[in-house]
Amino acid sequence: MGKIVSDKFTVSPIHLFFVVYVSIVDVGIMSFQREIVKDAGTDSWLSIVIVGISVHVLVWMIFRILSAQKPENADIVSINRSYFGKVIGTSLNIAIVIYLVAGAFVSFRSYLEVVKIWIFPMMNMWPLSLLLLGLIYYTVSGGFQTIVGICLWSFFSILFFFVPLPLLVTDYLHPRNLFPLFDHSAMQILHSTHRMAFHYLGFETLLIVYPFIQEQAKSRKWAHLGVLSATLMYLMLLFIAMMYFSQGQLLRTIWPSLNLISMLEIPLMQRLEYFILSVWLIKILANISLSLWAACHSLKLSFRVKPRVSLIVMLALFVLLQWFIGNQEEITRATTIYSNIGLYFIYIFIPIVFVITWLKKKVISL
Amino acid sequence: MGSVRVVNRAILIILPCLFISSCSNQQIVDRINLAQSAGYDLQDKRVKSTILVGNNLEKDKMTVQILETVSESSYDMIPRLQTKANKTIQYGQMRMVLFGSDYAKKGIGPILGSFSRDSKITSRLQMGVADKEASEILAATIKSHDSLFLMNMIEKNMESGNLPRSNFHTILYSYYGAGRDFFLPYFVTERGLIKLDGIALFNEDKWVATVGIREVFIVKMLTENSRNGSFMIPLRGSDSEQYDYVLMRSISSKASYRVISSDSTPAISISIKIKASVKDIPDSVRLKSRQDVSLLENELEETLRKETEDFISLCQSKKVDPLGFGDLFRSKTRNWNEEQFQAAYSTMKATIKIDLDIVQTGIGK
Repeated sequence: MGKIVSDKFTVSPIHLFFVVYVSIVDVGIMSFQREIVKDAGTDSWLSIVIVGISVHVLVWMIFRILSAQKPENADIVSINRSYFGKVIGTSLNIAIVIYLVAGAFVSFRSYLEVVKIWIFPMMNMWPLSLLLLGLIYYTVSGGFQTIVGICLWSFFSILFFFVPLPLLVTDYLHPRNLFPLFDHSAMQILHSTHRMAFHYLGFETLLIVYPFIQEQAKSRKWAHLGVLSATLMYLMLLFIAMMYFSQGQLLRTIWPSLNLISMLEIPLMQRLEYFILSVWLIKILANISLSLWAACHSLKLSFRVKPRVSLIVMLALFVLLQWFIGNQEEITRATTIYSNIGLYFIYIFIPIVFVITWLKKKVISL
Repeated sequence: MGSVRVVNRAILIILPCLFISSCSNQQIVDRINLAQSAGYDLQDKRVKSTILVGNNLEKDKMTVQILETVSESSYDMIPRLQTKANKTIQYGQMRMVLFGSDYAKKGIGPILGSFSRDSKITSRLQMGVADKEASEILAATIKSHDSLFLMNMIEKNMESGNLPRSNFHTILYSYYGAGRDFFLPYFVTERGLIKLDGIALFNEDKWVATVGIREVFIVKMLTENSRNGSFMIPLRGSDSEQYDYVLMRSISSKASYRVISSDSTPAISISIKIKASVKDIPDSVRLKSRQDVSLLENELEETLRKETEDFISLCQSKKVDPLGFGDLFRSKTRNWNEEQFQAAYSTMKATIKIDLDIVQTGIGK
């Protein structure tokens, strides 16, 4: 630990932008609007802004924690060991690994569910899920640089579809739906903020990929830019969905972004949403691979487990879990459990580590 | 190194998956029946469903097949119709749904709900109401050799006629949205021919009132740019016994709404700017000077204002809100309450101001 990672595996600072963006934006982008509008209605944009700002603060804390480590190039595995001792540190590391794998599984399962419902309601999902698992294995075993490459492509593929969206549906937008402003109580906005925070989970992989970034001081701005673009993407899709659907309609729509796309018609392609869902595979692949790679890497650092072995075990676990978490209701329950744990992780664990780092610095400088 | 092995292994895993997944769920277009238009009627408290299936047996020639079934509910339409067809019926390309008058009066909510949950139903689906039986109107389209005859009729009338724009998405928008009601195109048959004869206004999901195709222009003008809409306006002739008529064709228009008061007697003002051309004018009207034109403009404005007022009071008396007044008040008032507004709706005051501009009157003098 603490050793310099060879240039063969590192990426330049700008790539951190794609990593952070991709780790935040996942399948939830298809459905988050309904969840936050349910509580805060016309004011739900406020909750995105609040969560966005809080994540900027957390990213700032993460950089503070990581750059303060004495042997440079530390990651959360070594930090946990040195801050909490062998026993607690190792259990924390195991918890983080489980958390990362669970996050990857939730993305994997939710994507398959969307595909099943929208495109192939009758199809047996096993061939598709095995195909996806094969792709994941291939990407993760390719190492960090491969994953960053996939992140880059997934960023552009999504941008390509979602940025022209507002222009194409202009006729159907009702700006009146955004008003009145500030019509909801602080409690309602807090509920919606809580729901929105789920959709930002993932950026904490920063704690693990940090040593793989060259010139870390320069990478800060890219990480923040990644968070900012994710926030802008969420805001844009929220505003479009709110103006496109009436509120009652939005609350009955499980995947507002996909419904929106289904209005568009281009020559030869009557159902554009099928195509976008297929391209979405790249996005999901990047997402899952990033989490699994982080999990394998943490295992390697804490127990010297070979990544290939742990990866196969994890993928086998995916197959096994797919038996147990089969329907929409179970997926929702699994997602909720995962998300709530994630919230504790980012809003409690990271600040605690930050405070310890800060105290340590004080003690040393005294 | 190991990477070659990884790639080989990945290919070994991926290839069979591709083969397996490409073979399941295959639907080839000339081996299925595409249900493109559908109709629902009430028949002795049972639902009669009708579909039109288009078959492209020869190039550029479509034969339309009609299938009917009667059932306890609208939900088992497809399985029941399948027992009458030799190919699998697919409804992913359904573009038109017509409701019979009894069905529309009883409420089309169940259909709207079930369609909105179905990912196969496109947002661009068109819907309509028939004066009597939907199946009768659908049957009348068979000789046109176009299984989407009604949909095309609706879309062309939205582009170049009086019909305001709508589709399945906007219908759901108004149906589920607070403070709005939707409307559907209304069809009648006239000596075996189908005619678009206005719009049917709905309260919640029930058909309660009808507006003729002439007055539909007012609705178009109030909801969107009324480009291409036309409106016949009676003028008091010189001998004042007989009316002369002017045909006004809208070039562009814009309606803006303002809330004046939102307490127990709500009030709004609507101001409409419209540019129109008047091509055919009777001999009694002379348009020689600017003054003549503005006299005509005033007369047209007055008629439009009167008709708009009539339309709004019709909406109030029938308790329908196709223009979304409730939504307007919702966007301007905090803690808006739908029930309160519904109660006050009939007393709502609307002030209408119309600013009409005649821009061209044909190429001859």
